[in-house]
Amino acid sequence: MKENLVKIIGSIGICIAIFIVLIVVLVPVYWMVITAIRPEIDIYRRTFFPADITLDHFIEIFSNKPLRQFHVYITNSLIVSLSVMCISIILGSLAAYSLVFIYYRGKDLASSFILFAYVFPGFILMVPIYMIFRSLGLTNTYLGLILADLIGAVPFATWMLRGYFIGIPADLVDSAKVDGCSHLSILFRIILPVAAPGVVTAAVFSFVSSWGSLLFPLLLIEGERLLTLPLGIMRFAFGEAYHWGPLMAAAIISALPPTILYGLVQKYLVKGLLAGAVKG
Amino acid sequence: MKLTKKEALNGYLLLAPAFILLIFLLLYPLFYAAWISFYSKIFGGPAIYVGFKNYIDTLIDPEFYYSFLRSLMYTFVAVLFKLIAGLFIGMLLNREFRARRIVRSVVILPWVLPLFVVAFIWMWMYDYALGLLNNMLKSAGLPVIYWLSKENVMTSLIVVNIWRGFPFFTMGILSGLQSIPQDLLDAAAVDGASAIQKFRYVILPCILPVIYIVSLLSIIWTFGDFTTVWILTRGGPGRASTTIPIYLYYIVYAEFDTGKASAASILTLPFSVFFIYLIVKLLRRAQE
Repeated sequence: MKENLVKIIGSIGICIAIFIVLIVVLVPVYWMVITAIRPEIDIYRRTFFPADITLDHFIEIFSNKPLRQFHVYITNSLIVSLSVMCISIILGSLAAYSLVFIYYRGKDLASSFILFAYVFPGFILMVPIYMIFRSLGLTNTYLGLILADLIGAVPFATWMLRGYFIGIPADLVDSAKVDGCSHLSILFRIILPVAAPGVVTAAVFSFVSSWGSLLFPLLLIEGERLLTLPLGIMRFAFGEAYHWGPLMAAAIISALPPTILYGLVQKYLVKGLLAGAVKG
Repeated sequence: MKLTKKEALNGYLLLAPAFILLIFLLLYPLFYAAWISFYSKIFGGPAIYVGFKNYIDTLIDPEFYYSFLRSLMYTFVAVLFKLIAGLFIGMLLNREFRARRIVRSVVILPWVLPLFVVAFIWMWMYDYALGLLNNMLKSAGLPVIYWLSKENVMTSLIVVNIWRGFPFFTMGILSGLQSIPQDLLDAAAVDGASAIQKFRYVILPCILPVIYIVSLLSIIWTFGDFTTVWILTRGGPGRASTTIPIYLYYIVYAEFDTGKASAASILTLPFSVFFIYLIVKLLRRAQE
């Protein structure tokens, strides 16, 4: 009887703890959403629950007025992030295949270098990247933005794919080699299909890392034409008195692609997150 | 498998595109920074050799030390709290309860949102006149707070970093907890271990590798966090929240002193390299 009571109190405690965690996580997100869909006047009334709902703020940010050209910012972000995703998956899978399935000297060193590059903090490269890109005419170009984001994305994709490829039995590759397949056809016909979830997860991570990048675009872009989403929102936010409604509408739109993509690979998220540090 | 020459050549060829890219974009810039740190160079102008002047300038600049200390505080306080929250919530979510899957998906949400979006949300949360936090204080009849004032700004930034980053710890620790063999836990229960003993002698040793790796990765990322600080405060008010990445940015853009900025980058390198070394060692061991 007494044990039952302890159990009940325990599970009530756990319920409360979970509830608190959910509140802490959800309230800021709720605050973003509610600000984006309520009329300006209600923002000043500061109520917690919405009285009216409107899409005005979303219409506003796509109105093509100065600093509200969100279709331009989104297009720029998509061009850069999709390019970064494709390039890092291609280079990453070639390198990962080499690191896992081909035998040669210096492989350990190469793996360590990839890992070093993956965790290397980008801010340390701020000065030289800016100077080198400037002298090569890469500032204010898509190519410059893409190259800068590849610094982190390529080693990350390589390391992650390496983690997935290691789980594939080497016999599969060896028997294909005996059949006379070239490495490239083994990679594309056998390895990539088998490791498809890993490839998709790595692609999602590469896309998202580039989608959120701020420092390098800030260094490399002048003017309006190439503004990516974070920079476009920043100009908009700091350009005048805060317009919280449109700002939060822009935040929601920026958050959608990563949220949807992570949702698709949720099952594989944790493994990708730890980049092969833990099994399972 | 034989170690043939042709085979090795194939290996190098497949590795080459990624490596050439990284040599051009990572190693070359790193050496370039080391080189330019011995020169005085204004954009467009010639480079003039100045020896260790840039290093001395940096080392006698009190702002460099303040920024470094702020970065250290930001990093270690945030990582410590993320670890505690991650452990606690990870254990919580490891239990069986209804709607567990939904709760887990919700808990990773802060980490799924792009960092700049998180920074904008919190800029709005912290707003003095209309933000949610001061709204709540007002409705509770409490005095409102300048969340981003000189005194509060570092704490407020750390809170944002914890909110965004704890799911990384939670998910890592959760996956560690789930890899603990059930027989081990059963055996501990049969032996009459208390909850604390079970944690100390069974659970903790099993999840220690995960704790190490998520903490180390988080230390590197938090130390290099430019986005949160830049969007919320740009290093201000005054220089109250100028961390190392912001400090470097200002030397380049306010002082146009690329030589000094390079010297300062090189001076922070040992800190990063130490943690990178630990990560490389740990992850390489985990994968072998």
